[in-house]
Amino acid sequence: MLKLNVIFYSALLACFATSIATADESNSFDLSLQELLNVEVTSVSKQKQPLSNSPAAIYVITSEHIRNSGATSIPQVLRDVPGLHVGQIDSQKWAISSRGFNGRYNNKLLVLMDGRTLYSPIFSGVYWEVQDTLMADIERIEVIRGPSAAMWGANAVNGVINIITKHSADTSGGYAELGAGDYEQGFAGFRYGSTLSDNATSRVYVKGHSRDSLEYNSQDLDSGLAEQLATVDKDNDWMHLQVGGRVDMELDTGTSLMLSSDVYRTEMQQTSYYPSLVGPSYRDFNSNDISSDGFNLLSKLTKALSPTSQYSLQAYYDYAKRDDDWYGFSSETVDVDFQHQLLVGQNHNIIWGLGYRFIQDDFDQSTIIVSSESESTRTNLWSAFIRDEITLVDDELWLTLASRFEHYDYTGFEVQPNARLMWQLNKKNNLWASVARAIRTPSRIENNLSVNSQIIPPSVQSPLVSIWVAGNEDYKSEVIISYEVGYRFTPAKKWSFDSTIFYNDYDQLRNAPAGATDFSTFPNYISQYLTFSNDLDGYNYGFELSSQWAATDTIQFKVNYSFTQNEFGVSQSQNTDAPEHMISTMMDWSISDNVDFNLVWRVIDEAYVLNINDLSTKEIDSYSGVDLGLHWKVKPDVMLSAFGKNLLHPANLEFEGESYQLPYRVGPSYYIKATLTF
Amino acid sequence: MAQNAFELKAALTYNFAKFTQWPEARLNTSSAWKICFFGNQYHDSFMGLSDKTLGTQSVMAIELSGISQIDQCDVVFVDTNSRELTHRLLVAVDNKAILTVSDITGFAMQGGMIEIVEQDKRLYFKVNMQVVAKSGLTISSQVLKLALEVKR
Repeated sequence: MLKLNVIFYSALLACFATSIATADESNSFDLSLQELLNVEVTSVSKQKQPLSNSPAAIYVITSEHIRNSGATSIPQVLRDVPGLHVGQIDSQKWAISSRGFNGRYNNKLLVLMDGRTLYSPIFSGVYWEVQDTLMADIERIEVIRGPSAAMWGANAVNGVINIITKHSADTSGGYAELGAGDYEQGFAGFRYGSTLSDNATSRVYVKGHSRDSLEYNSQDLDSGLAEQLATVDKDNDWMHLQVGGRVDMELDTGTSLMLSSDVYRTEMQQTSYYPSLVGPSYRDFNSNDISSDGFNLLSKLTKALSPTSQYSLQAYYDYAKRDDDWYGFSSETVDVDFQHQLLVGQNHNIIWGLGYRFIQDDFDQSTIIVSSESESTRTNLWSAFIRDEITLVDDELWLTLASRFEHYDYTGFEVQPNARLMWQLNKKNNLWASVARAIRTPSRIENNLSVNSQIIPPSVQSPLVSIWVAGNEDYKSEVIISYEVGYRFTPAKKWSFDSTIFYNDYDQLRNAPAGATDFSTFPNYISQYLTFSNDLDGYNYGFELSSQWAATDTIQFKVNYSFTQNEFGVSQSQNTDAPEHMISTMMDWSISDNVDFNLVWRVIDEAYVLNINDLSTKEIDSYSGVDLGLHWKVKPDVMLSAFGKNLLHPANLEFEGESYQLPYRVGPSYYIKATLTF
Repeated sequence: MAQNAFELKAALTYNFAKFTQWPEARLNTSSAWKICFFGNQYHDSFMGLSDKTLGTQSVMAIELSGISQIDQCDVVFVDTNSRELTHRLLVAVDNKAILTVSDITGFAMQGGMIEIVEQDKRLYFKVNMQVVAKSGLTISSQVLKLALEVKR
């Protein structure tokens, strides 16, 4: 397979890497103002993205990449980022992680949209299916690998994904998109941006989609379970509808206010199997329509006090509700965050901040998930941070010292320090290094919920045993100490390389050793509790590379690669292992002024998923796939696009959810899209 | 004839400086005209200004990395990717004879002087005369005539 891939890649290079000399060498500075205004602006030629000069493993997904990819929701556009593993579980569910620990409930990746956390406090993880906005309104997505908890807060253990939407002044006028295909059965988006007054702009949008089920194959389950499931409906289709808007106001010179809000509803079909006390299968099967609703309102005031001092005050409210078949929950979050940046003297760039978050949740229990506290709980999170970027040698050497101090109801006081050093050797070479400590705070499920994970059918020696994984009030935060070194190299204008090596040392990782046994229901059955504890540790290390080559004015290549080694010894109660190798090769080609072509070819090594029932790991085969996109600008304001996804490879499993859910295969899919601006 | 936008915007910035009437005090100072810019992708375009002159003085292009370096500049160009800098930038140049130019949408409305706008493959510009007047600069009526919009 690898050999074939190499041949494919070489052929690509040979086909497209023909050099085209720049034609126009005349000097614009000799033109008069009138003449300048009459010159036609050419579409900007392919340029490599400038490398970041921050001392962190940062990768930026641009709005151009989002448009070219044709992604209709956020998880799809996170594929191909170096170090990120994106696995689709079914039509609606994703597992996304940085540097290992992937899962449907991956708890070590913090995700924010315009400063609002998208991380669920109940399960510690991100429900990707409800995190959405109009893709055309995203300015950029910053993916920071490695811990940056000192700046962003707890749970930024293995990475932070920052989704930043456009200023409403940049989205004036109308925009409409409409598309259809096989998996992407239909999607539509509409936005209108307007100027409200002399100093205020706004936009409103609505978007929706309907997606087909992914393919179920009985070979992906053990034969006993597959047989029991034979007559159960396995649909996993998905519908999502969302509306929202944003207002930006200039209140005074150097003072601005931003307000934004979104409302969504998502409806999904889901098939699950649960433990049951009733034989002969001791399982219940369910295929249900489930739904999720949400609302948020955010405001952010930014004010410059002087050329060297600026503060921002942000407050938001977020409501999220999910009615799953085996539980239901709603949460209300109120978050207030203050930040002040000030330059002190010539050499200190300081940011400090204070934050408070209040979460009130309400949990509907079921026969397989119960709470040891009242169904509704309240938690408080207090935080303070300070960061000082110190210029040691002008334009050459910087030291950044930072720390965050947090108090969370479940775990008490925590400190998350970070030191980073950056050395700009010259224009072409740039080195950085970082040492950081970060924590992953317990979720409600680890603190006070119990989940019925498995039934062991009765035998001659033993009655029926019902196994419960139980929360523990004394469960502590998981801890990471991470060491990173990065090197950026720009040998020539058209080439750049951005590489990182990391070593992550994890401590107090979760396990679930046997705890109390409840005999009160003997002889019908007994209950065995496995209680969450912090007894495990381990480490991983790896290398990530992002390289760019602007081959000609019209053709650009990117290769993103990551290598991870995982050393976690005994079986863990979470999936620790990242795929060893992941590589994505991308080509963007402007065939003419009006036609663009994009190609992505990715290879993902074997991945591992965890079966929560018996903590066994299952291997998911390596796979490769090709994405194609073709865009034709029919008129300046009309674009037609055609996309093929996951081509040249049969349907395969990308990932399996860790609890109660069926595996589904991701296969080739196609869709077309029309975009209109007015 | 077609040209890339970076070069055109750098050339426009130079032209705006050419048609600006500078305060006596500045004209009596014999130092090079400093045209500063934020945004690394503009590096090559602005560096092309280095062999130009304005009146009798030569022009110097300077890439800035922070707002605190702004006081040395006669002209500042901020590119659209640096929107987050504008809060402190506008406070820094408030009432000073520094010509501010940007392609950030809404820049003129926010308190900047000249905003470059791209529409249907042509460049246009808007001028906020209120801010210009406060700074002690005067922009030639030849320029204002060509503006898409002048806020008075």
